[in-house]
Parts: sequence; structure tokens; C-alpha cells
Amino acid sequence: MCGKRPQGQEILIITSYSLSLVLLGALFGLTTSVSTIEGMTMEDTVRRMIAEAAAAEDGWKADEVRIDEEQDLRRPSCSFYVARHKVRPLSYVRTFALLKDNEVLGIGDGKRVARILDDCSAQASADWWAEIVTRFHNDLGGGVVLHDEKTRTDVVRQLANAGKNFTGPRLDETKQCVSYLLFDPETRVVFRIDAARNASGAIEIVQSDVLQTR
Amino acid sequence: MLDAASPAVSGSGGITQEFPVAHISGEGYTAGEKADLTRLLTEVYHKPQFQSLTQPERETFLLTLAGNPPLTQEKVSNALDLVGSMKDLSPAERKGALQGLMSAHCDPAYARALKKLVDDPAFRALPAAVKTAVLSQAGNYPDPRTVGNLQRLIRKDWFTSESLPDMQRSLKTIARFSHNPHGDRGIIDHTLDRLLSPASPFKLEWENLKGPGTLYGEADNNVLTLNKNLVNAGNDKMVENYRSNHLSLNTVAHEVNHLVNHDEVHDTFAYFNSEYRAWVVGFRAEHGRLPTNAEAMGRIRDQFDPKLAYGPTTQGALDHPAEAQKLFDFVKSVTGLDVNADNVRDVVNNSDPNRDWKTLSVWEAPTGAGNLDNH
Repeated sequence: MCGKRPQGQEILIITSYSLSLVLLGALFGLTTSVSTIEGMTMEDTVRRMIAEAAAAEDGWKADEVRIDEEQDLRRPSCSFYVARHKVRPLSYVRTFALLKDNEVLGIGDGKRVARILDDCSAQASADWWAEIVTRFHNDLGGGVVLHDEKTRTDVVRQLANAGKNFTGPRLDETKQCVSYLLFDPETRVVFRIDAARNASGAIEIVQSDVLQTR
Repeated sequence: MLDAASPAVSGSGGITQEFPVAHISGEGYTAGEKADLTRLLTEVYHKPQFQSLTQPERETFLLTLAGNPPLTQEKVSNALDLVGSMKDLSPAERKGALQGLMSAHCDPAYARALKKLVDDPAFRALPAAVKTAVLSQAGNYPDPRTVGNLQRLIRKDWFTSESLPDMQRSLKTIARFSHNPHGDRGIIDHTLDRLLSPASPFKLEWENLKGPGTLYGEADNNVLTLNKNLVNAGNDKMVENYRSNHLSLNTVAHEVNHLVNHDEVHDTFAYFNSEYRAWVVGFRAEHGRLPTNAEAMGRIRDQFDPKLAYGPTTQGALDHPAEAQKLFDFVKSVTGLDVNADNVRDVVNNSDPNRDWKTLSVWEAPTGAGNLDNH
């Protein structure tokens, strides 16, 4: 399903929290470095904005959101933060991207995923692509990317017992399509995910149950 | 051709097989059964309840009676009682009720339960589209217990204030959860009591929760919220796939377990236990048995995984020696291995049950502590 990326497309997604962050950036010269606002470091400010983004997206209270930077996903032009609820026993997390223009993006459709890839993916690995697609695409929204045979040894044993070979994430040469295995911890299903750009440039997902367990 | 007196034995290890549904023509009946059938159907024909049916309804009704031998007086009288209660229903509602009776193989207990439902003033007060929706799910999941649960559902204010599509989702989710023949009956019934008892403060809501890969439902403040993207609206059966199966058979019990235990997130073993225990309850509701040690270790890995929802709180517990020791003891109870700060992640992530464990991977796993059945 890999295809060529259409030329000349621009996708602009401004949400209320991204707009406020842009405004904040304009007013205070927002970067992820060290400036302060009323006693807060800029890192504190960014975390607060992302907590508010999570609150807006999921109906949480910003004060009840825990924010951790996902260092493994950091790129020269972008950083990524994971939001978890600090009080309610929820089974999911939310990942937010902080782009170079200080825009904050959360989970969304294929165009949103494409936007993050366009802004952040330079020189990125297949593993990184797989994580971005998994965390940000509405059709997925989470799960365990099987990066290598040690990510989930039990799942790899399950694959082997079924006569299936483990393969780590693979990015095609044109960097328009990534293929990987994704484990859904809720249903214990292992999916083959193929994520590629469609004619409009948005990322489309094709998923299949590798072990045909359900 | 075999007659009804001769057990049909197929190549299934000598297990006696049920006869296929017989036709009203009498195929598959003995002469005596044909005579009884003719007599009972003749009696039915002259009953005013039968006479009140339209011609297509009469055909459906007779086929239902004749197609589910043996035709007993109890089946006939309960089915006629149901028909008697249908006279004020719309054609679509009557069709739904008759199809339910057919799906239930004319079970007298089902007919009684369905009559009780359609006679209920709460049912009579519903808009026509909702009545059709209720009867559709009573027919899609045809057992008397499920009909009784649907009757309890229509009495809940939270149900009657839902939109029609969400009512349809609630009806098919409650019906499918109630009807699960493989699940743990005690957990299923207790969970339904929590949601449907007149005095229960719990309610069910449907929301567009983003990210179907991980987001089946959540529970907070007496509200069970389920992901409407995973259950189709409409009056058909629930479209069955791994996600709708998980939501309807497992998530409902899992999330209600969080509510009944008042679980909150903390960097403690107690919270680790909360998530594990709720998982066990959901598993038992779906499968009707405790998970094995190997299955439980899959869940434990999830709760240790720093990239998933629970990982940071588990790490928080590991950072406190007293809490960490409880985690080590718990992992030991599954694996039989001595667990400490140096090896706990290796045991959880890399140990091979068949090669490394001192317990058997197929043994029943620990249940966790707390309210284990949603009573």
C-alpha cells in the first residue's frame, strides 16, 4: 500500500491549546530551554500547557495530569510528552507532540499523523515511525510496538509457536510506509500494521490479526 | 430416515445428538407425536389469542411451536399468554416478540419473561422505536435471564435519558454480557445488579473515546463510560470482533470492579493489586475461569511496562522498599522464583514459564485482593 507522497500539501491544525501555546511563545519567546514565567521554568510551562491539552482532550482536570517527557521519541525539531491521569485508574495514556513552532498536537486522524511525521521525522528510524503512528493515529491510539525480540518475550514465543517469524519495524526506502507488529495488551492480539500515505498525503492504517486469535 | 425414538449417533464419540428441527409436515415425528402435535395445534388454532394474529404472524407462531419438539402444554399456554399481551403492540414490535420466541425455541420460561416485559408499564411507556429496540435484543440474546435484565434496564433513568443509538448500544451490551454462556455467572450477575438494581447509583454512559486500540472504557464517580466507537448502534446483534467482544464481555466487569473497590492511582502495591484484581474479574467474567499463571504474567508485564499506563506507578512502588517487597512477593507467588530488586524486571520480562519457573504455568493465578466478584 506504499505510495508516493503528493506534492505541495499543507496541513494546518490549530486547536485552542496549540493556539494558546503559540501565543505564549510569541509573548515570552517560548522554547523548551530555560526561560521562566512567574517562577516557572519553561519546561514547567510546557508541561502545564500539555496538561491543559490533555485536560481539554479527555475531560480531565489539568491538576490531575502527570506529564513525562518521552525521551526516546525526542527529535531535533520536536519533543514528545506522555500524559497520565494521576487519580483515576485508566488503562491508557495520551502522547502529545510539541512541534518546532510550539504547536501541541495530540491524537488525531491520518492528516495529523502526517503533519507530525513531516515536521519531526528527519533521519528518524522505523522504530520511531512505528511509535508515532501507534500513539497518534485515531485508529490505534496505543499498544506495544514490538521493536525487537526482547520487547515482549512471551509474545515472540507465541509467534514462534504458531510458526510465525518475528520482524521488527521496517520503513520503506521512500520513507512513505512503515510496517511493524503491534501487541494490544487489552485483547492480547498481535497485529501486523501497515501505515502508508494515501493520495491526499494522510496516513492510512491497514491492520491484520497475525495469529488469528479472535 | 431415523424416527424420534432412535437416538442419532454421529461420528462424535458416541455422543447422542439432538434431532434437527422438525417440519410441521410431521417429518421426523413418530405417529403418536404427530397425533399429539395435530391435537395441540388444532387447539391453538381456535384460541382467541391465535385468532388475533395476522396471517404471517400465525405462520411464524405455528412454525415456532411445531419446530421445537416436544410440544408440551406448558409451551403452548405460555406462548399463547405472550401473544395475548402483544395485542396492543405495533406490527414491528409483534414481529420482534415472535422472532424472540422462535430464537428461544419456544422456551416457556422465555415466553413468561417476555410477557412480563411487554406487560411492564415502563415498557409500555417507551417510544415505539425504543420498544422495537428492546424486543430486538430480547430476540438476539434469547434467554429468560437476559430478558429480565433488559426489563431492569428500561427502568433506569440513565437508560431512558440516552439517545436512541446509545440506548441500542446499552441494550445489546447488557444483553450480550448477560447472555454469555461461558462466563462466570456470579460475576456477571453481581455486575448487572450493580448497574441495574433500582437502588444502584451506578450508571452507564457512551462516549466517543479516542484511540480504540487501548480505550474500551473507564470508570469514575459511579459512572461506567464505554467507547461508543466499538459497539454498533441499531437493532441487529452486536457485530462480534475482538474489540466488541472485549468491551461487552470483559470491560464491563473490569471497570465496575474499579467502582466497587473505589480504586485510586497511587505509587503503591495496593494500586498495582487494584489493576491486577480488576483484570482478573474481567477475565473471569469473559472466560468463566481464573487465569493461569502464564496468562497472569502477561498482565503483570503490562503493569511493569514503563510505556503503558501503569508503568510509572509500579516504578513508584518499586522505589519504596516496603511496597517493593510486596511486589516481589506477588511475582514470586506466580513464578515460584525468589524475586528481589536486582532481578524483578528480568523475572517479569524475560523468564520462560516452562524453563525457569518453579510453579506450573497452567496453575491458577492469584486473584488479587479486594472485592473479587462485584457483589
